[in-house]
Amino acid sequence: MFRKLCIANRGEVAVRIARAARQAGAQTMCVVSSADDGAPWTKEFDETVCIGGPAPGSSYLRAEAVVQAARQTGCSAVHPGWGFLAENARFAALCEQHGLTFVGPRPSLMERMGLKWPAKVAMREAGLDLTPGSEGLLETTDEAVEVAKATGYPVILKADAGGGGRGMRICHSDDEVRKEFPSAKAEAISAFGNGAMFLEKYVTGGRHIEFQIVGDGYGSAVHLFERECSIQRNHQKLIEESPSPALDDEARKALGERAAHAAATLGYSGAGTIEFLMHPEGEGETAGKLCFMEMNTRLQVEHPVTEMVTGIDIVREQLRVAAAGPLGFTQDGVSLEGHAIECRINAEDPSDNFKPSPGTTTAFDIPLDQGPGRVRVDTHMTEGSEVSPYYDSLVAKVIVHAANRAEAILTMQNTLKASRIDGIKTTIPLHLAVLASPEFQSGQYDTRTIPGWTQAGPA
Amino acid sequence: MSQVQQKLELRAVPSTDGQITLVAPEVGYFAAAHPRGALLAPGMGAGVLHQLGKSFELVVPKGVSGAVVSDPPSSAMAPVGFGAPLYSLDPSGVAGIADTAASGAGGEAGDGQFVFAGQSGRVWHSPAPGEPVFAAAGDVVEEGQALCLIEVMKTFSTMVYKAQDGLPKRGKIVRWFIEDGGDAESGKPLLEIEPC
Repeated sequence: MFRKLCIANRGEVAVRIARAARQAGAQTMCVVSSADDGAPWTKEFDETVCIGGPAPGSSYLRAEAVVQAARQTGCSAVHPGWGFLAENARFAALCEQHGLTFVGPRPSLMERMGLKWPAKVAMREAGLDLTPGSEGLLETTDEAVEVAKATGYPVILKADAGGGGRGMRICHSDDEVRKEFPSAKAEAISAFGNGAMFLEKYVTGGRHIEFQIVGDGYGSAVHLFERECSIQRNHQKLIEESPSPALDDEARKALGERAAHAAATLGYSGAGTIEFLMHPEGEGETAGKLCFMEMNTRLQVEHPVTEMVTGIDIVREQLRVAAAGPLGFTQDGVSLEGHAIECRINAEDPSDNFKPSPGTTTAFDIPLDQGPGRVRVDTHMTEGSEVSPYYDSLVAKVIVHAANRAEAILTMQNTLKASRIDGIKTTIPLHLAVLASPEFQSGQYDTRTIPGWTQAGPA
Repeated sequence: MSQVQQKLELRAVPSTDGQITLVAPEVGYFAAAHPRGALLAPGMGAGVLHQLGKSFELVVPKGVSGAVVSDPPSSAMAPVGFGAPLYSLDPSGVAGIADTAASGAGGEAGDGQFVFAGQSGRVWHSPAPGEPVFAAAGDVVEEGQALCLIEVMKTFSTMVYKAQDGLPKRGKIVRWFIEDGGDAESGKPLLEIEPC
C-alpha cells in the first residue's frame, strides 16, 4: 500500500477518500485552495498543501501545482476523486511522469473513453449495444443527411470531443441536418479544437441505468451490479438507487456480465462506470434495450448505493488495485442484498428555480436512527460550516439500506423529515416530494420528468 | 538545477505590526533565500521557486521595500505552499540606512525606482578622498553620468547611470542605501531614484 496518498479534490469526496486511505494504512495529504485552507473538514487529513486561490482554475484544476504538492510532501500516489482533474488524461500522464501512481485507469484508456466515437467502437467490439446511428465519423454534410435519413428522425448530431452540449444539435428533417451540421462542426472546432462529428438516433425519455465495474488492470474485471439514476434535473442526478426497479434478475445478470466483459477486454484497472440508456417504448427495435452511452473512468458521486448493497468499499478497492494488488473478491463473491437509495442534498433553493444558496449553516443534523433500515451520511459539513460560492453545491449524501425497496423509501422519508439544516436552503423538500410520488413508489419513472415535482414546486 | 525561466512576483501582505510579509505566489521548493538583514527593494530578485523542473525567479513587487527580519528556511530547498510566508520585512529598515529619504524627498515611500549594484564591492561616493561627491541625494542625474566608484580587489571602476530596466532618462536621487566606503552586494539596491 502507499505510504502517503495525495487527494486532489475537496469537500465531501476528499473526506470519503481519506477514510478509505486510513483504513488501508496510508497517510493523506489533501491539496486545498486558499478559500478552503483551514476549513474544519481539512482536519481529516494528515496534512494539507495550499496550491492556489479560491477559483478552481487557480487551484484544483492546476495539474502542475497538484503534482508539485504531491512530490514535495513525499506522496507516492494521487487520488483525483470526481470532477476537477479526475478525467484529465494529461494529468494522469503528468502524475506518472513524476513517479506518482494515478488512482485510475491508464492515461491512454482515459483519453480513448473521453472521445465519444472511440468509446462507442470499443464498447461495440466488447459486445454492448449502441444507439443506432452513424458508423464512424461524418465527413460531409451530404454524408450526414444520408446517414440521418437511414437512421430515422429525430437524430442528434454530436461532437466527438463534446461536452456541455456544445457541438450538439437535434434535427427532425434533412433540411435541418443540412442547416445545422456545418454550424455544429464549427462550434466543435472552436470549443474543442476538434471538428469530428457523428450522429445517432435521438431518444427522448428512457431510463439511465449504469453498471459499476472494477478491473485489476491484468485483464480481469467484475461488475458490482447497477444503479438507476433516472431522477435528474438538467442532466444532474438527484436520486440514485440499486437495484434498478426496471431490471429483472435475468437482465441484470446478463447485462452485468457483458459490462464486466467489456471492462476486462479494455484491460481496465480500478473503478469505472458504464452508462446505458434503456430505450423507452416506441423506439421500435431498440425499445427496452440498454444501449451504451458513455464510460466514466473514475469514482462516481453515487458509488455508496453500490457499496451498501454489495458490502464492498469501492474506494478501498481502487487503492488496492492502484497499488498493484489483486481485487479483494471475485465475481462469485459479489451478491446484491436488499435495496439502497441515495439522495444528494444540494445547497439550492428548490422553490426558487434551484438557485444556489451559499452561506453558513446554523444547524446541521441528519439523524442515523430513524429506521427501519440503516442510514449512512457522507458529508464534510457540520454546524457552522460554510458552503462556498466557489464550488459545487453538494453538501451531503444521505444513503439508506433496507431489506426491500419500500422499506428503503420509508427509511429515507423518515430520515429527511427528521433532518435539520438551517442557514442555507437545501433540496430536501424536492426529495420528499419525489419519494412520496406514486411514480417513484411504483418504480415507473424516466429521465423526462421529476415525479412529484413541477416547475412551481411539489405536485 | 534547471535554469531560471520566468520571473514570478512575490505577493505582499501587510501585517498589523507595520511589517510586510512576502508570501509564496506558487507551490514549490523555495531556494536561494536572502538572509536576515538583507535589504529588499522593488524589482529585486528574492530567491527561486522550483516547480516540476521549472524555476521561477521570485521578484519583490512594486512599492515594497524593507529589511528582512525573518530567518531563511533551514533547508536549502524548502517545500512551501501557495501563500506561505517567505519573508517578513521591516519597511523602516531601509529608512534607517538613509533616513533622509522616506518623507524628505517628496516622493511617497517606496514609490521610487532603484539602481542596483552591478557587482559586489566597496562604494566610494567621490573620485578621491576630500573631493566633492559624484551625486548626492537630491541631485539630478542623467544617462551616462557618474554615480560612484566601485572598488573590487583594489581595482576601481566608475559606475555610471544607465536609463535602462524602466529607469527614467533623468532622475532625482531620493537616497543612497550604501554610504561612502560601504559595501555593496551585486543585485542589491544602491540608491533610490525618482523621475523628474
